[in-house]
Amino acid sequence: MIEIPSIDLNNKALLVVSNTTYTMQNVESASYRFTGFASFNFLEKDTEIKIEIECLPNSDLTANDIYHLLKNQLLSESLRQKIADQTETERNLILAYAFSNTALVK
Amino acid sequence: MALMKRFKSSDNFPVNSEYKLLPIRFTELDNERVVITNMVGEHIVVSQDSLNSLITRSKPLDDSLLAELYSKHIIYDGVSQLPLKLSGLKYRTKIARLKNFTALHMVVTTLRCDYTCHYCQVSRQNLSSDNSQFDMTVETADKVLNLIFKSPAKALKIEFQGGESLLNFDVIKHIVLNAEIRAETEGRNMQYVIATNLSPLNDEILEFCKLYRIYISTSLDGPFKLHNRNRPRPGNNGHQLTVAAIDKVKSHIGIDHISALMTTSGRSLDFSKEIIDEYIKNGLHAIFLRPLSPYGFAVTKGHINRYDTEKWLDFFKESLSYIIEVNKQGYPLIEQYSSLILTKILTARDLGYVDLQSPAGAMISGIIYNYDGDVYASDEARMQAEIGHTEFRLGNVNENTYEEIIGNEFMLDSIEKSFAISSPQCTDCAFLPYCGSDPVYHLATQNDVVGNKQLSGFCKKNIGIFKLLITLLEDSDLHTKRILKSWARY
Ligand code: SF4
Repeated sequence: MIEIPSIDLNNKALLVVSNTTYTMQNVESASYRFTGFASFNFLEKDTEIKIEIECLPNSDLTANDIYHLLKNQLLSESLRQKIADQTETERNLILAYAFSNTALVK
Repeated sequence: MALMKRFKSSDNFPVNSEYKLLPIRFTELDNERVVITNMVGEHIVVSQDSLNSLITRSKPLDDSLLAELYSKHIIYDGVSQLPLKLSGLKYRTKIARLKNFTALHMVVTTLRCDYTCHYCQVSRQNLSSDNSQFDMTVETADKVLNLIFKSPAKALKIEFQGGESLLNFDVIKHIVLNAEIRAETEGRNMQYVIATNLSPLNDEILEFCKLYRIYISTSLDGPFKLHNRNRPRPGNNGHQLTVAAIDKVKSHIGIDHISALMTTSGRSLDFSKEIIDEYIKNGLHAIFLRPLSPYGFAVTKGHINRYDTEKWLDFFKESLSYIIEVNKQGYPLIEQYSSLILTKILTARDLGYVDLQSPAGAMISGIIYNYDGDVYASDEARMQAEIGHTEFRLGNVNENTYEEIIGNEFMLDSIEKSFAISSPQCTDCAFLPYCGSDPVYHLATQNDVVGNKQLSGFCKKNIGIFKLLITLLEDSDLHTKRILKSWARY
């Protein structure tokens, strides 16, 4: 992960990650968890994804809190991505068994 | 000793550490642990560290954990098809309810009511109101019956609601008698429930309920003072009447033909123990701890903001812990919402509770016919219509065909959009196999049928209960675990 120091000015912060470690989908899913506290802006350029964090008025968390929570959440999203990649065939097979011999699957 | 000779020790059966993952989801349980579930809701609780090792294979897992992961179908050997077939079979069992489209039919017989409950969500009418205006007519009831019997479900449940449903007992009788005849010729199984405050109960009604095995569902909010403050009625004798009527039903029809539920108002929050004691005092063996829901007049009258989900969860936790204590002391008492969820957590069954369904239970599992023939996707949708939000009004039995009502475009579109499996956050949530999508709730609270789960009281409430029950199943003493496991309906 490429990190630059968070900016905690007017309750804003910036997290920069490498797009070889995290996909844009990881970043979006991780940020979604904090939409009750902040708004997000994403910018993908070269090998980086920049995540601008801006706290909502009356948010219980500071931009700095969200910066750290987001980093942890990105790890979870990357694990989820690994699960999805490793289990695609199994998921399809389970669904095929579930719907076999029903009118839904010929 | 003889047994030891016949069986080899477990060291002779090394656990295969060359595993493949099955499709799983995980969610944080607390600061150290995560819950992992598979597609059919089998679960395991592991440390964050073990989760990382399981997925990235960065560190070997110990044999006992590996064995448990195999047995819970979180991993498999990558060769045998059996775990995949078993998971497929369980998945099929979980969604079998979809074949029983639509099993629950709620019929509002009247809007009139003798109570003036503070949290009432519909536009109840006084007893003195003109019954020709607010009662269901026999002609409308016949059309409702026609629609009910168009449902493909073999087992049909008709639940009568109000206002106070028994104030139009003639229509209840008419529907039950005719449904019995039609069920006999069509080979359907019927069940009936009357949701009632019980004040109009008399011997004729009791006899009828006994004859047709009609189940009574009533409201008991707690002890005398609390019940009467939540549910005022002229004469201030609601509690006295309800308790006396519960006794009558128990002695005349039987304890297994009546249950009560409570609605948590702001003032109930401090009385969890007293509420439960009241249920015990009345010989009831089940209680349904319900929060006040954000619909209809409960919102416009301002009662919904009296307390938030967090406070209700504290109340739920405290109540559940007391209920478990009561069970330990020898009085069997089930908390019904926990029972529904434990059934999902511990078995492959799904009891079809409307709020915890995805695709949404509204319309698919249950549908409601208002006194004037209007059809709504759920009771909550009817409540929303009371304050002008008629999005989930599917049609009217006097004007529309079954096909037009069931094919309502807004409803079908909402069901499709709100599938939990494709909703942000739900799609990754370990609790997805136990949870539901509730388009009516999310439209009411966020003006969006999917809803942002970060802001959703529905999500917060359910996630709180899932975590509480799983923590209790993990960390409690054996006696508590045994009590909770006995609440699951296998
Ligand atoms: S509503 Fe909440 S608890 Fe339920 S599946 Fe979605 S994220 Fe999980």
